[in-house]
Parts: sequence; structure tokens; C-alpha cells
Amino acid sequence: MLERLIHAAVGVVGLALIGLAIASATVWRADDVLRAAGTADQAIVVTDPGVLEMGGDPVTVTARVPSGARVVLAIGRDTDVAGWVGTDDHQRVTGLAGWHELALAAPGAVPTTSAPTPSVTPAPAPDEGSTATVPDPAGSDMWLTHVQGTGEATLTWQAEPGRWSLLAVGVTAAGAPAAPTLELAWPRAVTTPYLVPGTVAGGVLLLAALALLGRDLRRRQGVEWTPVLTEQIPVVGEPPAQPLTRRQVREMQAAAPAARRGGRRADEPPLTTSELRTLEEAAPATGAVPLAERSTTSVPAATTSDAKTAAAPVASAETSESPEPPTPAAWPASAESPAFGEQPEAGATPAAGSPAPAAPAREPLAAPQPAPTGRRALRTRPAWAPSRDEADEQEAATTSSATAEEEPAAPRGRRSAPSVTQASPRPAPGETATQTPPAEPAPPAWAAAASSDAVPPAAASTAQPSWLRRITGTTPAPPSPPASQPEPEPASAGEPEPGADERPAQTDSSRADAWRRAWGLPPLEMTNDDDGSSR
Amino acid sequence: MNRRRARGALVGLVVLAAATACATPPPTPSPEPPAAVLPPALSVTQTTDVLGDLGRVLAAGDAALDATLLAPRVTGPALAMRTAEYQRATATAGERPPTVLPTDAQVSIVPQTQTWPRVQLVVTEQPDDLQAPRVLVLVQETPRDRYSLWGWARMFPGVSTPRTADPDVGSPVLDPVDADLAMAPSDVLAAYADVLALGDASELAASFAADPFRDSIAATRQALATNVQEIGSVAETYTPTGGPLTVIGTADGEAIVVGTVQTVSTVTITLAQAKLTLSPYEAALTGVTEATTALARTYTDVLVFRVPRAGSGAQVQLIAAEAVLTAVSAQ
Repeated sequence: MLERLIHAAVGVVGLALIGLAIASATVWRADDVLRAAGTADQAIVVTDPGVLEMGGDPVTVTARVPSGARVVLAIGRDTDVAGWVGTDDHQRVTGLAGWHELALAAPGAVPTTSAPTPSVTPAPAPDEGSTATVPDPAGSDMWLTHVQGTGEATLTWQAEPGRWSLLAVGVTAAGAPAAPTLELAWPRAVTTPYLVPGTVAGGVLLLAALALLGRDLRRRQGVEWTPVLTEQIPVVGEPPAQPLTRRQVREMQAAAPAARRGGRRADEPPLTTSELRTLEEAAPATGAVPLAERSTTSVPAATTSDAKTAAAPVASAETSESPEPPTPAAWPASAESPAFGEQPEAGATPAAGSPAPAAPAREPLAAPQPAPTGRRALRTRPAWAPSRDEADEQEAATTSSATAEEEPAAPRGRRSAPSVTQASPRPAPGETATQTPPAEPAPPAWAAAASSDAVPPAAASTAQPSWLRRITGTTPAPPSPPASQPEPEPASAGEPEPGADERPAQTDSSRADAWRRAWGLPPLEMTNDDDGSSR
Repeated sequence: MNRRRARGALVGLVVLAAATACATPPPTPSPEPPAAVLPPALSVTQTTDVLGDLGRVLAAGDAALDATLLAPRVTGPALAMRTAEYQRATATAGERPPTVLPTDAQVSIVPQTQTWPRVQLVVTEQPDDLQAPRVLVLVQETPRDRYSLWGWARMFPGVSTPRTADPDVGSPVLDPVDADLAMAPSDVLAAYADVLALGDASELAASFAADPFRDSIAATRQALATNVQEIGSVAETYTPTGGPLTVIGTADGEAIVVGTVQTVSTVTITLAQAKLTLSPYEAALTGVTEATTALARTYTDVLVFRVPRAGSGAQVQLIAAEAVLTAVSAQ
């Protein structure tokens, strides 16, 4: 508030400055013609040398006397004028009393200019000085110029080198003195020295004030906005983060080594493993970390960001996405598979305890859904998009093909990712409205379903069948692998193999998971993997 | 608090700006310092104006042969001389017209002075009849007087005009008792009068160069004495009229001295029954036609000298003179 006041004050000062500058060039601007006037008490008025030239070059002298009287204006050397006036009563114009007022010396004051005059002036003075009549300067040979008129006389004088005086004498028709009113007018070269600097300075102040105020306003708006964002964010991030993290952390930590042993090497480049380790090391602190770790495994750069952002899967998905592009194959697998794995594990763990996540998960799956698609059934949620399923299927069929296919999947994830990052929960709802809620709150619900394998399996089976049907229908080729699944499953029961299988599955599924997370959907693959492993 | 402070600052700023806006003081006279060298009394144009006006006045007076018309511009010896000339012209029915006085300046010798009276010399162009140029002496007695013709003189043939300063600058007015001159200006007139009276016998004769005026005076005097030697005697006196009117320095460091000398030529008739018949001019001046015992004729001489510098060895030169019979008394 205080700041804003100061800024406003600066602006006001700037405005005032501009106003003053303009006023100095307009309202307060000196007149083009400087006029100074004064009315004398004596019939004879003399200007001191320099007075005529003090205001400008051509001086226009106007003398006015009461109507009927005659006035004579004459200009001559100061000594001549002084000599002519002699000791007669007269007044001297000594300068300006103000901008528009002539300074008149006391009546009768004798100018000190001419010392020699006394020798001569005494002669004329007694002749006419004592009389009431006023001498007439007109006709003297000493004047450079002189003018006379009745009532008024005007004379213009161009400055010349030398000392010049003006003599004004007013005489009534009867010869009696008539005090003239003298006005001197000079053209002025009016300058407006304050206009430009004042305007510029004022403008600068004003602009500065405006800028500051604008910044204040912007800041204020920003402040209003941020809380809105923050409100949303916590809603989105917290629920998944809190519930997920702890379990996930444990599970993921547990799963991570298994993943390393099994699948990593096969599918993913050597980089991921090393990265994973480093990530895992850093990760344990935050619950979300494990996710991040895995996601980061694909790309080292992401690790830090992920680790830092304890945000739920969403965050991991985001981070994973951006870095992943370089290695599309690695990305979905590493980043998402863990994420999926986590959630389902979270669900599964309670039921199965927390040994190897894969083991408990598989068992239920295997039980409810026999041959057709062991993994896929598990992996693919009933609601899940067919594309997802297809991807999964293909992946399942052949890891190599899966990697190839992943690329298309990845783009989706990327696309969705940006939206996810901004508002992770919302984009999800669009596609899977039913599931999105689960994504956040769902984990528990979903987990419950997953965890309580006994009961949920039915639901899962009910759900799955439709999905399975689709898949089977859609992808004839994959079905065959599903058929083989029973075989893999036993193999999967043996952890090593399933781990190997899971990895590829995870890689594929991880993409999908990331995508789901981006949309706020609960991860499926985890269930798949877990189911596959557990069941 | 903050608002009050801001308001105070604003008010202060406004006051400050207003003060600065109004702070520009009105202009004050800044006259040139008095010139170290005095300016000329009259400018060239002013001199021309004066001469033009003088010419008109003279023309009016000459046309009417009325001296009263000369009052505005003619004064002193010139007025007396012109008045006499008008009388002479009138008496002679125009046979002897007044002296032609051109008013076109050939040379203006303007004094540098701030005091009065002011004397200005003007060397005119030659008249139409190719007479000698005139030296006009213009005088302003007091500040409220106009420049008037105080006197005139004819330039002597073969005499060059002294080099004088430009009229725009003006010529210095010298002290009549200036030691830098061969002869003190105040003594010039008296010395010259002595020379006129005594001729070469004067002690000061050597100080003055020969001049036509002195010769003519002597010749006239001699002729008059010869004419009246049977009936009487002739005596002439030369009296300076006061001191020199003015002393003006020239560019060469010399001085021009202007003054008047009154010459009184008296014829005393010693022979009984003898009488002198006056000329119409003289008769007009006196009002009588005959003189039985004495006839005194008074001439007003306007003399213009050039006084050399001291130590130059040069003589004082009379460069212009005019003698006009201005008064006659007959008994």
C-alpha cells in the first residue's frame, strides 16, 4: 500500500512537473512584447542611459498626456538631454520597478550623469525654470529623433552605440506642464527554458510511476492467481502422493531389485540399470521417489526432478515423458511400468503381504482368468482404451515389437503429458471419467479391489471378459500368445522368468501407465504385472 | 503520514517551480560606460540638417532683405553683418547684394564637447560665382538654443584647409591657454590686432605669416589716408572682441582659432567747411548723408587662424577672414 502510494505520488509529481513546464511556456510565458509604463508627476521625464535598450532592440515609446495637451518625445545623448533639462524639475526613469512598471526617480532629482552641465545650465535654468511655462524641446538640433503629438506621441528607437536618453515633455495648450504617462515596449525573444526539461523529467517520472503501478497491479493479480493454482495442485498431487508414496516406496524398493535382476538387462539399455541404482539410492527418502526413480532410470536428467517432486505418478509421468523422447522404447517401460506396478502393488501388497509384488498379483489374476490372456486380462482394465490394450498385447507378444510399437504409444503419452502436468486430474476424467476418480482416490478403492483378490477377481473377471473379448477380437495374433500365457504364468510363478517377462511388459505397460497417469487413470499394468506375477 | 509527506513535497515542488518561473528578474539598464573620448556634438546628419535649415533661413532673409527673418539661425556678429549687408543691398538697390553664403558643407569640423557654447566650423563648397569657399561658424550658446550662424569668413586663395578629424569622430576642443601651440590661442587675436595696427613694426609681426587680409587692411587704410589727407587725418584701431570664440584641434596637432576683431576707422576732419559725403550704404547705417567733423566706421572682422604646434617654427596663419562694415557714425 505504502509502495503504491509512493508510486502514485511520483506519478503526480511527474504530472505536476509536466503541467508546470507547460504552464511556464504558456500561461506563465513572458509576453512577446514587454511593456512597462509609468505616470510621471512632472512635465519633463528623462530616461537614464541604458533604459531605452534594457528590454530589447527596437523600443517603442509612447507618451500620453491629458487630452488637449501636447507631448514631445526626443532622444539624444544623455549629456545633451541632461544639458537641455538643466535644473528644471523633472523625473528620471531609472529602470523597471517590476515587469510592467517603470521606476521613476523622485521628482526633481538631478541626474548625476553630466558633471560639466552645471557650468552652462545655470544660465537657462533661471530663465525658464522658475516660470510655470515648460520649454519646448522640439526644434533642438541635438535630438537624433523627436516626435510630438497632441494627446499621444509614439516613437521607435533602434539601439545605437552610445548613451542615449529619452526626453518626454508634456505641455498644455496654455504652456502649463502636463505630466506624461510613459510606456516603453520592447519585443522580447521569449525563451521557454523549462518546457523541454520539465516535460521530459515529468514524463520520465510519470512513466516510471505508471510502470511501477503497473507492476504492482500485475503482482497483485499474480498473487490472486497463484493461490488458485496452489489450491488445485495440492488437491491433485496430495492424494496420490501420500497414499502411493509410502507403499509404493517400499514396494518399489522391493520390486526394483527384482526388476533389475529380471527384465532390465534384457529390454533396456545398460544405462537404465546404472541410472536406476543411482536413482534408487536417492529415491528412498520420499515416497514418490521410487516412481521417479524408475521413470528416471530411462533418463538420468529426470531423476533429480522426479526425486525432488514428490508428486505422485503424474509427476513421474511428466518427467519421464520429456526426457524419454530420445529413447522411446526405454521410456514407457521404465517410467510407467514401475508406476503401474506401484499402484497395483499397493493394492496387492496388503493382501499378499509385501513380499515380491509380482507374486501376489499374479495369483489372483491367474485364478480368475484362465488361459485367454493371463497378463493382458490383468493388464488391461475393462475401461481401458483399446489402444492401450493393443499396445499391451503386442508388447506382450513380442517385446521387440512392443518397443517398436511403443513409439506410437509414447507420443500419446507425450501429448497427454502436458495436459497432465498442468492439471493432472482433469484431462484424465475426459476419457475415463469413472476411472479418474479412482486415480486419485481410487488407489485405495482400486487397490482394495486389487488387494482383495478373492472378491474383486470376480469384478475383475467380469470386467475383464469384455475387455478380453475385445482384445481377442481385435487382435487375432496376440491371442495366440495368450494361449501360451498359461505357460508363462507358471514360469512367471517362478520369479526370475516372470521378472524377465514383466520387464518387457512393464516397459510396454509403463508407457501406458504413464499415459494413464497423465490422464489421471489408475495404472493397469501394475495389476497386470503384479497379477501376472502374483497370480 | 506518507500522504502528508507526499503532499508536502508536492506543494514544495509547486512553490519551487513557481518561484523559479517568476524568478527571472526584469531587465535592468546596462548603459555603456561614458566614452573616454567625447562624442561629436552633432552627427553629420544633424549638421546637414542644421545647415539646410540655415540655408532656408538665409534664403528667406536674403529674398526679403529682412534681417528679422534671420533670427532663428543667425546670431552675433553674423547677424550684425548680415543686417548691414541687407541695408547695403537695400541702399544700393541691389547693386551690392549680401554675401553669398553656401550651406553645402565641404568640411565639417565638429567639436568633441559636452559643454556649451558649442562651436562648429563648416567649410562650404565654392559659391556659384567661384568665389572663395566660406567658413561658417555655427554656435550653440546654450543647450536649449539652436545652432546659429555666428559668423562667416572667406577662405584665402592658396590656403589649404587644415586637416581635421572626421566629423563622425569630432575634433577636440582645446584650451585657449594651450602650451603646446606656437602661440596661446587667447593671445592670437590681440597679437594679430597689434600686427594690424603696427604692421611690420609690430614685435609680433614675425609670428604671423603674410595674409591677404592684413594687406588689404593696410592698403585700404593707406588709400583712405591719401584721400582725406587734405581735410583731415585717419586713425584706425583694432580691438579683439573678447577672447577667441573657440579653439579646435586639427589632426596635425595644430589649432584653429576663431575670433572677431573690431576695426574702427575714424576720419577726423580738420579743415573747416570741409565735409564728407557718405555713401548710400553708410547713409543707411547712420541715417545721415554727410559728416562735417568726424566719420567713424566700424568693421566687424571674423578671423580664422591656424596656430601651429609649439616648436614647429611655423607662423600663425590667418586662413580666412571677413570684414563687414556694420556701423557708421558721422558727425
